[in-house]
Amino acid sequence: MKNRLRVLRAERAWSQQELGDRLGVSRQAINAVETGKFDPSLPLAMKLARIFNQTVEQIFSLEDDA
Amino acid sequence: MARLTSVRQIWTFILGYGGSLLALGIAPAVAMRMLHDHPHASTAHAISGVLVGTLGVVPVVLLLLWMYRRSDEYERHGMLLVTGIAFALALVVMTALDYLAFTDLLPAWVWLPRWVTVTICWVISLIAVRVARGRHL
Repeated sequence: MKNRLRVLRAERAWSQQELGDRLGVSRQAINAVETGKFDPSLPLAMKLARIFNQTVEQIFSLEDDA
Repeated sequence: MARLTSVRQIWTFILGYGGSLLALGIAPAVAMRMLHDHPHASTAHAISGVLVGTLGVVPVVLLLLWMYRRSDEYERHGMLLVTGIAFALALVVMTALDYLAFTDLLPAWVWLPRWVTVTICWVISLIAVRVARGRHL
């Protein structure tokens, strides 16, 4: 799974810690999602989508999608 | 929000784990002494011995419950992996040591206190999870 989390976060100048605090998860969790080491649960993905005002599909996509 | 990986929580974990190891190391020895030294002890005395031995595992269970409550989904994912691998390893190693000791095949120098075995298994499982995550599994 790939995602645009790092770009979206950079656009808002938020640190991983700041985004983690907003979502109620650890900085390590944000880092793991950004680097593709961990796929978030559906509730966390939806919270991310809401916080960035995007849909889940706009943030996350499958590796083999063009 | 203080998650499991914040500094304060890590210190709480270290203290909790230390206390758990202490209980795991002391309680079985105390219980065995209570039961062994009094082979014809009263039922109440025997039950006390069994209770002391069994309660020795309570701190580590409480520690795991606390970790589960404090963790977010990523930490929980890792914690469950580490705990699962550590538990499986500890079970295999301790069972093997018990059988080897029972058959007198176990040289004295191989014997380790249980808390040492458990800690070694935890460290091995931490490394295993670290390596597995490095490979994006």
